[in-house]
Amino acid sequence: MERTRESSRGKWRIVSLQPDDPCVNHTRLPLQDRSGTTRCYNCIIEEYQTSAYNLARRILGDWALAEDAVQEAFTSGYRSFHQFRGENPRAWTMRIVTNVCRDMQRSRRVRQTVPLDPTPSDTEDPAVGFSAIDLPSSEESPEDYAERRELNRAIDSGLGTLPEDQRLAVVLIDVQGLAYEEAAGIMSCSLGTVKSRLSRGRGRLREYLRNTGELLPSRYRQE
Amino acid sequence: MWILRRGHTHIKLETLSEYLDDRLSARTTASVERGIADCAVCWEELEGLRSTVTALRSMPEAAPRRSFTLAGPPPQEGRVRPQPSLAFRLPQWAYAGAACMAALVLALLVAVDVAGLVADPSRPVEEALTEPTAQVEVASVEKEVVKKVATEAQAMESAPRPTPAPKATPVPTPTQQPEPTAAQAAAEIAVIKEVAKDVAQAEIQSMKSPQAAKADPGDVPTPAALVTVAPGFTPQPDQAETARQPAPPTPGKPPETKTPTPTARPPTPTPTPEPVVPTATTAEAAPNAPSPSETPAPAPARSAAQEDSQPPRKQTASGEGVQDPAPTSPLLSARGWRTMEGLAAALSLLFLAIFIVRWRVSKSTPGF
Repeated sequence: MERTRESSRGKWRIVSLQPDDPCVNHTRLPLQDRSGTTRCYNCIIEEYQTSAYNLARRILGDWALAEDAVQEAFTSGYRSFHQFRGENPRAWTMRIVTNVCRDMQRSRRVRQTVPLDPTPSDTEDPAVGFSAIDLPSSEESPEDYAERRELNRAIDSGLGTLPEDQRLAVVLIDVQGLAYEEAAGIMSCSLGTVKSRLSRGRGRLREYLRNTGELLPSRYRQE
Repeated sequence: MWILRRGHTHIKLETLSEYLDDRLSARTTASVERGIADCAVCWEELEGLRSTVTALRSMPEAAPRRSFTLAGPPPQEGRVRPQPSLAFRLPQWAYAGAACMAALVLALLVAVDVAGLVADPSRPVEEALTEPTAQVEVASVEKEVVKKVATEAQAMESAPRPTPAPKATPVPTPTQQPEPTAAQAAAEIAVIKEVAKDVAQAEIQSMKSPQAAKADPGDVPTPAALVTVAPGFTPQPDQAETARQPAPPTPGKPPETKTPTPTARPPTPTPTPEPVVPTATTAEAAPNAPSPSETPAPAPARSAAQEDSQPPRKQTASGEGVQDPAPTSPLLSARGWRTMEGLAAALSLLFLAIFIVRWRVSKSTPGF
């Protein structure tokens, strides 16, 4: 069964998956973008939900809000899939998440002025479980594990002190690993603005880590 | 060495940041590397940035606590709130101002109406006279005039008629005048009634439009003008006026045939040419006229009836009848004025109601 929906910008279709599609096992939410590529939307979600979740967590500084933002972003992305050009689904997803987080910040007056909540492993909810960020690897000593946790806390706190634009640039490029151009597209600004915001964010974070150098691991400690 | 370092400017933070990401051109990269090698401060800056970026990139990603996959197509976005109607789109002060303006206009209209500046040109005087109040006024005026004339006539009959002074021309004595018959009296009363009606109309008209009467008094027939005689006609003397005149005509000075009325405008047309009624004055005024005893007077009853049947027409000085000009209205017709008043009142109430409804809605709805 095939349904076609007209939109103002173009035409996108919800089609049935073919047997040779890569995500044949995902029978739900098959989408065909404007280039004709059939995708399963849940595949896109599963591929980028971790990045989207961490991005939202670092922008909003709240785990629960980040979950709401990611869920809303994916729901909104399904509705606006006809705007996806099929070039970079990761950047497209990050852009939606960023916009949703910005809207939530504006509407709920969320300000990044308090440190991030404890990691999920710190909560007493047994259903939360442990995340990869907290599990000690077999190659890591207890001292290194403790240092890593302290570093993460320091960086999260430092990110919380940055202005919103600089924090977004630092998270997108340094944490999420996006290119300058992709970050410029997500932030809806020019490339030069991205460079400026990124350098100033890095400089501020460097000063923050320098002031809290006693807590940093020895290899990150700046003399 | 110190001298050589005087001209050195530290490398910008943005350039160092781009150098870390390998986004500089080869020439700029070489320049930065030379500056780092020569300047310890720049080197420290670069190392600090490198440590920060390394720490940021080494941050592990936290796995979400749950999956965000969709179980099915999400429901469509909620229906768009319909755009409020125009009554709720305009600001609140617009309706308050509109209500005030409408109330002001209404007050102005009512004030003008109360001041009597509005006339109704569509209604003729006859229609106005048919009103109960007008009829009562006309009847009262007629009664007064008739009563006055009757008393004066009785007084004239009882009192000895003044003997006219001897004149060169023979003047018929009053004894020669025939006694007024019943028909003549009736005709006389009819004429008097008509005059009284005209006077009442004039008074009512002047009461209704004092400004018009003031501006153009010629349009409103005065009592004297109503009895003004046109040239060529024997005047019908006003009984009351005649009785009011204290002195009889001076002997040897024959009165003029055309007795001017005591009005300021002699050529004011008279409403109707009155038939000649033989009285002492007319007998004196027309000495050459045949005596009533010799030539019987025309049937006054018939002429009075004719006059009653004919509408009163004004006459010019040449005796030609002209159409009565329509009474001029000062500002607007009364009907249109009342319509405007009603419209202003309705608009005022409408705007006031909208203002109150919006105020109550805005109080009950915080996000309104």
